[in-house]
Amino acid sequence: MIEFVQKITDIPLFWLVATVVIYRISQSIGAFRYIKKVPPIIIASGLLIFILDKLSISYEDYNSDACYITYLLGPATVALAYPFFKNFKMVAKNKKAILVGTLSATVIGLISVYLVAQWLNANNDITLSLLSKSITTPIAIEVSKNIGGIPALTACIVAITGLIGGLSGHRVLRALKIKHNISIGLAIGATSHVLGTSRCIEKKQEQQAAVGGLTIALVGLLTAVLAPILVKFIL
Amino acid sequence: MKDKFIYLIIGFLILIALQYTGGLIAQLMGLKFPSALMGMILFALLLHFKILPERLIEHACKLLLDKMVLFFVPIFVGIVLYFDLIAKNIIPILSSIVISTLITMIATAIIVDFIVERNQQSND
Repeated sequence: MIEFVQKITDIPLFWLVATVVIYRISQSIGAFRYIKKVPPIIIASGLLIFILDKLSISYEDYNSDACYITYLLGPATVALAYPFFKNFKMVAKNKKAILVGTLSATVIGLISVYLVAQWLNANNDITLSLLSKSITTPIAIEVSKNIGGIPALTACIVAITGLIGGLSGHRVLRALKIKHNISIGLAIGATSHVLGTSRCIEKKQEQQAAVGGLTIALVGLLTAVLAPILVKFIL
Repeated sequence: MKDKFIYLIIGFLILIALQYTGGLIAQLMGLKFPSALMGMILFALLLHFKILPERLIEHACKLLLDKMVLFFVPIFVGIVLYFDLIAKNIIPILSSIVISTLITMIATAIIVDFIVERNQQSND
């Protein structure tokens, strides 16, 4: 049995195919009433972690196949310019709101996460890894490296942040009676990057996605500049 | 159907080429700037100035944006590597994320909503 499992999982790119299949299954599991609210990404990663653990397969072995899926984040990030292009007029008309919004989101985000982390006595490594939590993974990793955090931990934190922001975003903003698509797209893009913005795409909110994509780029850029300054200031 | 598939491949190759070109530009400028982001800026410019026809990339963009969440799965599975560290610091990590995300999201939305509203009024 063990030999059999090993043979199958040794097939090149087995885990890549397994990840896609398990994600598809997780999406259809959502049809059952009680787990409808759980996002497929949680179910899929939970299942995969469980399976890897049961078969005692290391993450390195898993990721040597599955990393090709992660590579697709690159072209997908590039593709975010497409909704931006489709809604260019709307963005151009509101450039002031977008610039002020991204700047305040970056500053408030950096300072609030630092203050809460200090208040809860997080140690330095954790605090530094938390600072780039709301920007897109490829930039977050660079920033984390630059300011002395743990890049891989930052990647996890970024993923958790995107999930929390993406799940709560539309609900919170609706409760606050935020009307404009620009405000919603910007607030979600600035706090929960690509994962949050993909929720706007799922909800067929093209305008929100357009502002979100632009915001991700701007907040990423601003954080890359401001985070090292803040760190110099506080350490 | 066949046409759509060909456009999909072409569009996908263009996006990858843009990412690499973006990385190259960042490197030449001596910037530690992620290649995908530079590629995104480049892509926006090419689309805006109609250098790149929309029909070439339309299908690939829609597909990638539609499936984006899937691309995060291996990163999520990677949480197992830092499970102990995260578990030991679960309260500061989760609280920082939740509190800061909510404060930032709410403050930003209110600020932007205010400016947009005022803009529209002055335009009327």
